[in-house]
Amino acid sequence: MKDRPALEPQETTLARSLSEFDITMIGVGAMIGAGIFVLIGIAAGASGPAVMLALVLNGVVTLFTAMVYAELGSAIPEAGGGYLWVKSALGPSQSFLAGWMSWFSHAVAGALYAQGFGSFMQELLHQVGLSLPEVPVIGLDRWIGVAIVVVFLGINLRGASETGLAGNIITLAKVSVIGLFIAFGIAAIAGSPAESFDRFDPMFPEGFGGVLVAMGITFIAFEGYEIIVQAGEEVKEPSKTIPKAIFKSLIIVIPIYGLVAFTAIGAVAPEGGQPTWQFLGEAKELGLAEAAARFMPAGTIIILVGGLLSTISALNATTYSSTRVSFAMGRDGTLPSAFEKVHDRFKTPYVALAATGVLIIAMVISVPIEDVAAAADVMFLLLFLQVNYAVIKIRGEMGDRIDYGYRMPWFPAIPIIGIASNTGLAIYLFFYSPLGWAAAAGWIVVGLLVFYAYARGRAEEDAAPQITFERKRGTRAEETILAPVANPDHVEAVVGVAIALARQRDAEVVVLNVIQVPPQVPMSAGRARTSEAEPVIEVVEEISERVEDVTLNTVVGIGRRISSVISEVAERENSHTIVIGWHGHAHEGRVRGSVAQEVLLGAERDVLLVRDRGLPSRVDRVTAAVSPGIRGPDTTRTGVRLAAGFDADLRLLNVVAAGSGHAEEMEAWLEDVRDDLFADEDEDQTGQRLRRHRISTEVIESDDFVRAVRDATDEPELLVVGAARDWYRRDNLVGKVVDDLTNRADNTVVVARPYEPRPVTWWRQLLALLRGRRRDRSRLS
Amino acid sequence: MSGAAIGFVATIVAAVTFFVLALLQLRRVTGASEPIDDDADGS
Repeated sequence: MKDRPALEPQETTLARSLSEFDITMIGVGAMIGAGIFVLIGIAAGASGPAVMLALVLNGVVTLFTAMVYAELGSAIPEAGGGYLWVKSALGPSQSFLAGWMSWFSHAVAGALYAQGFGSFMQELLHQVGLSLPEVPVIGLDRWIGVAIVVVFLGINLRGASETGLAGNIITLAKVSVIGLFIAFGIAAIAGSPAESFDRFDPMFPEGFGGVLVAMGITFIAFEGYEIIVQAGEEVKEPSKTIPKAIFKSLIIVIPIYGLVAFTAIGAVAPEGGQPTWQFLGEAKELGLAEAAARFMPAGTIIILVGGLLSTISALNATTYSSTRVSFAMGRDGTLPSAFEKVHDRFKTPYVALAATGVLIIAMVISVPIEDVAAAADVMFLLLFLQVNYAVIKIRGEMGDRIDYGYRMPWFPAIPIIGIASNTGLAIYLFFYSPLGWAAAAGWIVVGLLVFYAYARGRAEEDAAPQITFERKRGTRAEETILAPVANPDHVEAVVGVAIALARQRDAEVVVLNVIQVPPQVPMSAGRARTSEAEPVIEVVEEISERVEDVTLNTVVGIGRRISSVISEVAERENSHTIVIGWHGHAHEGRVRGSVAQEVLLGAERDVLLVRDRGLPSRVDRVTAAVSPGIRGPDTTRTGVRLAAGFDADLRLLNVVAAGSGHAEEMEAWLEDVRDDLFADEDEDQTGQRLRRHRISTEVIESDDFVRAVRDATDEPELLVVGAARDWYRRDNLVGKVVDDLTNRADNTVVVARPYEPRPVTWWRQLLALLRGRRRDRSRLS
Repeated sequence: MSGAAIGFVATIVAAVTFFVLALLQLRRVTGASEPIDDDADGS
């Protein structure tokens, strides 16, 4: 079973009851609806007949980001989706911004649907012949929009949400209305094909730029697949179901969009010879209704009813989701705690709901509908941009430690294309709606001010590692060996090696168990999970009873990132050496995505990786596989220390190519290495730890280094090998030969990587400065 | 080639691209997943 420590759900989880069909329908319902009803006219006005191209191209662009959602949704199927991934991968400032933008984008989308509802209702009242009163300040449609927002704020306050059967009926109704529109439209086009096709000429009256603008405007109609991921915790077999539902819902929706655009242009003959696209553009959000009136019996009323249903369900969903995002931010401490207040009677987050309501109503009243749409589009584009960046980081850092039901091809080209296309569309929207962009940019600026004035401190406080349990057994020694352990099965080996090292250094061993607190869980809740360390603590207690000459201290820490907690504790405990378990890696020389990798890269200390294959109760011999290429002298010293610690013999082993004639030369080199241990100028006097006669040397002739070493080692033996010198290269952390040996050896292997400062460049100095500042801010005491 | 024809061809090309890409991804989900090595960290 794979480790999934970073993002495991820890609190209450929802019942997994949604099937693939259910969740696909949720995605289809989220996409086919308000977006296409409200925006098709506006988009046609911006691009001309090429609006159908814009919609299909949007499908292609959407697919890139959908692949990212499919991959992360399959690997991390938890409520929170994009916001959670950004939080995991990009840190506090980006995650705050993601939450802040997510709150706004859903609220603004709500404003768009409220405005659409107002227009549809006004037109419907007009259609059925009701005389409409004059209203002050803003038009009647806007007042209706405000009224429906208030109604849904009330509904959300009471906690009702559109679920189950009601949701499916509404989706069915929406799709049926769109289906009728397409069917009647195609029939009309088939009746006069030549005239219909003439309406597509000119195809690009606003140039290709118009197509890009239309893509930007309608982008919001494609983001419904996000809902599939949001519901991830409730899906059966999410690792396969979520990606399948995402792709299937897009495969259903994109042709429908293309056909709606095709029929809206082809089937409609406006009066006075006006180009159809212009006619639709002037009708704006009523474009679809006006088009239907031309070829469909009772077309306007049917479309208006469909539009009302769509906008109502979309407004409900967006009010719900934007409220929940701001509530979650309140709970995380990045928004004031008032946002997490829950109503006594209704058990709903009423402050977050009220703030969201104010935001929606302000947009409904003050911003024209196309600018509201643009603002929501810009926000979603920027949010998806972050998610595309997050997937690059998550794949890079977590690598194969996550179970993927789906892995996108051509990584990282896909997220890079996603970033480029989303950025391009966002930029184009600026030319269409500077006001919409200004609203979006203004919101981001306010967000940054809130972050730096308020949220940053809270976020850092939240992220700082904490010690939740400590058991000190002895007087504090000058030096400690830190042994971070997670799996009780490997405690014997890791702590055993640490004890051997500590024994001949008069050091103490600090056994550290880190409990990782996932980003969606507050640190306060993480403290309650300290009991999860009990299995590890029990094994340490057993060892402590057996070992009398070395003091074992136990520490349990919690934090967002395991390697950060290890670094902090190593600093605090004055540990010059970290002994950490490692399961090796099947790829060439890589320790990618593991805690061991982060410790190797980040720790300015000696690191010993222990590949545990069972540590014998009595280690008779330590074999150090030494060669000039893999830190011969350093490995020898580690071998001496471990042999002394285990009271075992030490064998210095080297392998030369068969028939190369280097055996004698190498034997002499090994002798030199041994002699150096006893040289007077050896300040460390390593050799004094082991009597000379207990150190033997051996050279084997073989063409297969790994096999030769493996064949030459016995069962109760510990194998020591040095990490390659270029360990700091991310892709070659221990070296290929060492990696092979570690993976193929039958014995427990210790890979030694003595700390050596890297060349100091200006950017490393800067990094060190930043690290220092971060350390200063740490709350660890 | 008229503007309308270019538009239709472009739309069809985009649609085909979309379907091929999307169906390939769907196959990728339903087909055998790539072998994933076990790099569980034993620390």
